[in-house]
Amino acid sequence: MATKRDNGETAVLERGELPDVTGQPKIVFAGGRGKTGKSTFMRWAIERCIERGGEPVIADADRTNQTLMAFFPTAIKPPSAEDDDVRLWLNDLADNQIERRNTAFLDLGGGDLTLKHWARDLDLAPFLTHHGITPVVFYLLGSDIDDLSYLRDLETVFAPQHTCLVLNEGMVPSGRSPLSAFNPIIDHPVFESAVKRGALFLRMPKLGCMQEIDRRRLSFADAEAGRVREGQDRIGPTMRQMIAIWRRETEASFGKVSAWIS
Amino acid sequence: MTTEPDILSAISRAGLQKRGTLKEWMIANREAFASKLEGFKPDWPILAKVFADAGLLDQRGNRPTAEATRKTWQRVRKLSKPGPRPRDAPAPTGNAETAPVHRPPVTAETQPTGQAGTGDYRDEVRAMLSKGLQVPKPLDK
Repeated sequence: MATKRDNGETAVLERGELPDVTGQPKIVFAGGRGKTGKSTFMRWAIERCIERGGEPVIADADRTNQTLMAFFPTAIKPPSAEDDDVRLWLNDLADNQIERRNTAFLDLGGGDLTLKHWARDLDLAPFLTHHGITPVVFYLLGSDIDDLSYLRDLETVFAPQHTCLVLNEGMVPSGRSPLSAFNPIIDHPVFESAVKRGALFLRMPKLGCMQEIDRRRLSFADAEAGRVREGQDRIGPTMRQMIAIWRRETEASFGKVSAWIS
Repeated sequence: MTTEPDILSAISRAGLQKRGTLKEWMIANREAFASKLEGFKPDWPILAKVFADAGLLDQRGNRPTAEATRKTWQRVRKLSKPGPRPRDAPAPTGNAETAPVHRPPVTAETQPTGQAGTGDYRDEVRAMLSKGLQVPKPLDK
């Protein structure tokens, strides 16, 4: 498979061969429309990274709903929601990552075009790669065909080698199986095109009690252990079991990209 | 033309006790199966019957036809080949006919890290997704 590397060179990659990015500094992006599970994925990935001894920079640039700030008090955010402020803040973030060489998780708002403009203006993927930072992007997709529009638009200007399409089963309407609900997505040329250029795909399992965790602002590990904050309702054994299964399944599903988020 | 008893016994030794899809079986036993076909023109109608009688189904849950068997094998052959054996690794012992053929456990480490470039990525995505409740099949009478 001929693949255009992030530095612009064309190299031949066999299936199964991607550069190992274990231990390398990265910027992990989550992209997609609103309400496709970006922040949920980011929370899980950041928690996982920290549990493994990582000290990532957590950057919450969601201008409409700074979810990560509520879960990670050390998260950083732009000084304001104004376009220019966000752009300058993103530039600073990239400069700091290049200088300090650590890993960052960057959450942008659903459908926010900031990343598209930033990526286009900086030629972001080759730029970061040139400076030793591996760009990693996870596209969260629900079963709505319009969820592909963000992917289509961003792929034109930001197509890192480490790209993963995440089919979020939590977004599948009640009463439908993920298999049938995602059929139009899987068959769509936008999805096909991303896969053919080298994007991976995986599933994010559904957690039926996700809202209960969100409402309490708990980490997944705390929720599984039943550690609630003072004054909050307890989490019963059944819900804890559901969370444990979800974490186990999610870990298995994302195992193939473990190094991308470590 | 493959000698029928030979290929049948090879498939039998490979173990078909467990029901599954034909594609899964072919992936798990790709090398052994390929070695049996090497140099011969496969008799796909016979092979399809053997697989079907052993309980292997196609991706849609039907008995595989000769054409479906042939196409499945074509697709499986195109999947990534195992990496080269490390230079210092011991050579495999035994022969393909007597060695037990089994599917290695799939772990994060053994999962392929790239999926692109395969002609049938849709099959892979669908195999990955949760299937939901299945319509029960009628009992055999």
